[in-house]
Amino acid sequence: MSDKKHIDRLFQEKFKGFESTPSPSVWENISKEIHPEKKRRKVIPIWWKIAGIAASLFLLFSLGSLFYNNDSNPVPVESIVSNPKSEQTNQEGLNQNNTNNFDDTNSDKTNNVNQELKQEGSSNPAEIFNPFVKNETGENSIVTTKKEHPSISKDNIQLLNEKTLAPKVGNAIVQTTLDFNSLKEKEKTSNKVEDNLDLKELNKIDSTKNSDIVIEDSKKQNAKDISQIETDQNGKSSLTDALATVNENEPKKEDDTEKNSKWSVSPNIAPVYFNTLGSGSSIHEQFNNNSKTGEVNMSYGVSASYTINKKISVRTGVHKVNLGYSTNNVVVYDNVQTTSSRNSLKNIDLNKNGQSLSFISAQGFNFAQVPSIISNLVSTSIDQELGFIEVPLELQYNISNNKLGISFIGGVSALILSDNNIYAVQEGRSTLLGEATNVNNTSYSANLGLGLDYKISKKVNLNLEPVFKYQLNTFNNTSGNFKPYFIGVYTGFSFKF
Amino acid sequence: MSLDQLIQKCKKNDAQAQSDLYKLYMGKLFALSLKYSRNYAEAEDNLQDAFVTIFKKIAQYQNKGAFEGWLKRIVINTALQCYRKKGVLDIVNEEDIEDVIIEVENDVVDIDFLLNVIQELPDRYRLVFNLYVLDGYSHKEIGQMLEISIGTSKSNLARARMILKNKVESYMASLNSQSL
Repeated sequence: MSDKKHIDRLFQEKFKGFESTPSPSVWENISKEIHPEKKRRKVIPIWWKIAGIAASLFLLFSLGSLFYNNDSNPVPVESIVSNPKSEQTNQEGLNQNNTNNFDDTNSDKTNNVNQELKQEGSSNPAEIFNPFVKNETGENSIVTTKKEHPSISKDNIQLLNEKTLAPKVGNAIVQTTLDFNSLKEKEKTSNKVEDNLDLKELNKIDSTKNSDIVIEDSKKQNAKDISQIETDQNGKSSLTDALATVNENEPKKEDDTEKNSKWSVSPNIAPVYFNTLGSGSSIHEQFNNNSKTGEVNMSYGVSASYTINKKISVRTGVHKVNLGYSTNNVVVYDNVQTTSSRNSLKNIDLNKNGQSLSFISAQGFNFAQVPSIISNLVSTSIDQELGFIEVPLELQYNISNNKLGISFIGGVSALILSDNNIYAVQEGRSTLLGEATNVNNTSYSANLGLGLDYKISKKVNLNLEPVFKYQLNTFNNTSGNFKPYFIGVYTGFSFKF
Repeated sequence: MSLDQLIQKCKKNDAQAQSDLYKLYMGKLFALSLKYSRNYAEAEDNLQDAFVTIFKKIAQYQNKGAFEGWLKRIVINTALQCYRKKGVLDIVNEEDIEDVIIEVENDVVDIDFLLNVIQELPDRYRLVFNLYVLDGYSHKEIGQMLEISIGTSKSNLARARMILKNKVESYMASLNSQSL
């Protein structure tokens, strides 16, 4: 079949209806490109997590040390309450002037400054005027405010202010260590700075807003410095002010961030099971090998969570948590013959009931050799009940963000002791024996858990979070290998706003 | 489901519809892609790029004209873009060559062989031959698409035909010698 034809026709005829199948990988690639979000799995760098944990640990420990400081100086606590009250009237008077000129957020900020101004002013009615310090800081503040211009970015202004303020702070510290009087002078001058700013505020709303924040911060810093120096000198009236400033600044800072953020609050309740990993005892070494039964108690509280990004949120809160466990197989008997000075429970401060009793571990008793009067009492157990106020600081890392969300939870808790009782329980009757002496007032736990949340609506989630909390230093004098922990299944609703 | 419905769903980024559309046209479009490419792998890459463009731009398809034609244009454009990027500029001798008549035994010529000889053509010859002979573009259109003159297009086509004729003839000669 030979045929003469144009070359074009040959190809046209042959390629008519020509089809070919590409390999399946082509479609896979196409589908990956047009639906990238399904295939792409973002892997969070490990250092991110480590940094997060380190940061939360640091924050918690610094909070913890703050608590300790407060304990050693009970006086400031009262003054914190009394100070703001006394200033209330002054503050309002000033605020009225300001709020006329500023919008809400602005006046909030100026309030802060004014409040502090008043605080310090009122506590130091007679100040010695130091022209040197005044001059320097006064000049600085003028320079800064002059340089402030709407076109200059916030960052620049802050930088500027920090630079100018730094020497001031340094100066102040040197002076206070040299001469106690100069402390008051410094406070006076910081008033001056704010006076200057107040004037500027009336003219420049934007710029003062920025400088207020910085001044506020630096004031906080000053106040801390002052408080440190003064604690050494055993407290004067200005210490109370300084601490009040610190304490007032902290909640305000939170308020500021709350305004523009994705916060959620969740009340929750959890059954908590407390027990120990090792075989030791928190009560006495003779009970190291006794069997121990963990108790299921309740924990309840409120936590607040801040969403940093899609994957990570930070949360804290306050929980009341009760923990308890029983040491079984204890023989208790009345110590009739002698009022022995030997306390058979070394870590317990016994009350009247307890002092007349003796406690022996029945573990390893050979019952044949023991008088029947003792062997009959074997069913006694010693129950330790502890109550804590728990302040957790945890990072939550979301694995799945669907209707049913899954997340990992890691963090630390500060545990502040609130209840501390030891009971002897015999055939259902429990007798208060006293309290443990080896429980730290503040201790910490390392937390690890899994979070499940079911999104009921955009604003409301139902949470279920089994969390394991390993207690780090709850007891300071345990015997054997006593490693307490508790597990809670935290259930609650969280509300976003 | 009608083609219109399928297109509508694709416009809504429906994954199932996209998969169906792909299955419906992949055979024809891959064949098209093969003709314009140097080899199988390049053809697959081209098809992949073309379909990504198709799904991204399907919302712009106004239901005017044949849908298949729209798809083909995207595949061809994707192929051409690749060569425009590479700056394929053969040195062209603009001489007129007469029509090429070839004597063939129609049945024995294998499509895979024909595809192979097309793919072996220098890039510009292949593109012009495909566009003009197999996909019905005019020299004017080809000139615009490839950013060459009409004369160049014509000349390229003539060269392509000559090369193809020689290859087909030698192929058939070898077939005949085998059968003898």
